[in-house]
Formats: sequence, C-alpha cells, structure tokens
Amino acid sequence: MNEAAVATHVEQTATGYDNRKLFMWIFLASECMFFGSLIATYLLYRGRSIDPPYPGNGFTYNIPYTSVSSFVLLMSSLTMVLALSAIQRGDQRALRVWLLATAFLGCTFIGGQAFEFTSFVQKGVTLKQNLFGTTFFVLTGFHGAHVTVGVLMLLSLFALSMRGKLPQSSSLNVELVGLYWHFVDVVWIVIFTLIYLVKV
Amino acid sequence: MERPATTQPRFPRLVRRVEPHHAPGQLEYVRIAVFLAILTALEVIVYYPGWPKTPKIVLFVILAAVKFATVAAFFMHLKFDGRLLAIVFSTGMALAGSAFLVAIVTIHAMN
Repeated sequence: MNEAAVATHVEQTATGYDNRKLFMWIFLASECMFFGSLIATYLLYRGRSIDPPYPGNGFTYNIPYTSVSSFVLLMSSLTMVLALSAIQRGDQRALRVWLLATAFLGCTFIGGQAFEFTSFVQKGVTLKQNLFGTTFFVLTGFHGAHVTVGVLMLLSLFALSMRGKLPQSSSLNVELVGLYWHFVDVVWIVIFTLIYLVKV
Repeated sequence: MERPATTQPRFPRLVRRVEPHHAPGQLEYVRIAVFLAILTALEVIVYYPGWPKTPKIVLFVILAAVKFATVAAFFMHLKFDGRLLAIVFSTGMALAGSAFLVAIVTIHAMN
C-alpha cells in the first residue's frame, strides 16, 4: 500500500483517524484505569502492613538505582520516536538502529527491575510477606510485564524490517508500537514519583 | 457501500491536525529528552533531606505531571494529532482518577 492509499484509507473513516490508531488510544485509556487501580491499591494499603519489613520499618528504596532505571526508560522513548521519524523518512537503516536501541534500553530496564526484585527478596520483602510486598510486586511486576511485551513487539518490527516487510507506507505499525511504548514510559513516571519518591 | 475518497471526517474540529512540517524534528526530540532527563535529576536532588515534606510532595507531583504531559504531547504526538485522541486518553485518566477517589473515600468511611 503506498502513502496515497494510506491517506485515502484514513479519510474514509468517520473520525478521520485510522481505526487501528483510534483503537490503540482506547486501549491505552483502558490501561490508564488498570494501572490507576493498581497504584490506588498500593497507596491505600501503604502504612497498613503489620509484619516488617516495609518502608519506614526496616526497609528503604534504593533511589539512585531506580533513578537510573527511570532515566533509561525515558531515553528509550527518545529512541522510539527517532525510529518512527526514520521510517517516516524511509530510512530503513536508521529505523533498525533505533528499534534495536529501544529494545536494548527496554531490556536494560527489565534487567534492572529483576535485580531490584532480587535485592528486595534478600531483604525479606516478598509477594506474601505483607501488604506492602503484595501491592508493590503486583504493581511493578505488571509494569515490567508490559515493558517485556513492548520489547517483543520492537523485536518483531526489527525482524519485519530485516525481511523487507516494513516499508515506509507501514509507518503506522511503528507508530502504534511507539504509542504503547511511550505509555509504558508515562506509567513509570507516575509509579516512580508516587511509589518511590513520595513519602507520606 | 464504499465511501468516496473525498469524504470528510464526521467531526472535523476534533480531528484537526498540525501539518507534518510543524511536527518536531529529530533535534527537537533530543531537546525534549534532555529536558525530561533534567527534570528526573531534579527529582532526585529534591528527594534528599533538607526540604520540608509538604512542598517536597507538591514539587514531586508537579514535576511528574510536567514529564507526563511532555511525553504525551510530543512523543505520543497528542499535541499534533487533533483533539479526539486527547479526549479519549483524558477520559481514561479521569476514570482512573475517579476510581481512586471513590476508593479513598470508601476506605475512610469504613475506618
């Protein structure tokens, strides 16, 4: 499908948007409610744990470490948007470089999270230990799962590009994965602030 | 029946877009990323002792809101893609916020 065909297709929808893009935004809106519920649950149960350790009683977050993870995820949003810009220009080589860079940064974030989870377990914080452990691991674990799915989608795009099946006219596919990836990033911005930084 | 190619969107005011040449270029994306990195560094600086608790929390929330809005507006292109998508996404966030408020009120009422 060439660009003119894509443009015509977009004009033919009642909203003026490609239906796939509109659906992705509706999906992201539903994801807001999903993560909103998990964050609300964490905040509501904060300070209600009975058995230590929990923040304020034998446990502290490693803020410098998590800040670096946050920085890595933020920079992955930059590489993702550069990948989109590359395919819109028809620069396949740059597209592959930026897609791989984004996947690499995503893997770095997941590796950092795995290390953090391991160190928490060594400090006695487990999924079953107390309310803090349960709400923290469920929230950040689901976020990590979303990042993992994003990395798989990025690698799929990379494979498609290598096989010559991701032409310039398919830039919407990269845009949709990009929207998902940026959403995962903005969710982490909220989690980092409300869970790690704000002490009530 | 297939619509003619010249069909206009049903809600033209909601889908009005910025022309592609007004969308950010690569250098502008890098500048936005640097801005986000500076805000993250600022959060870490503010985190460490020496700041009163309440202003600290307010500042964290403001910094997070600015970072969130910047990524959504520029990286997710909400600023350039018309209002309908922004309305869809804002509705999700508003519903999430409402559920959160209802949960807080319910818990306080139970206590």
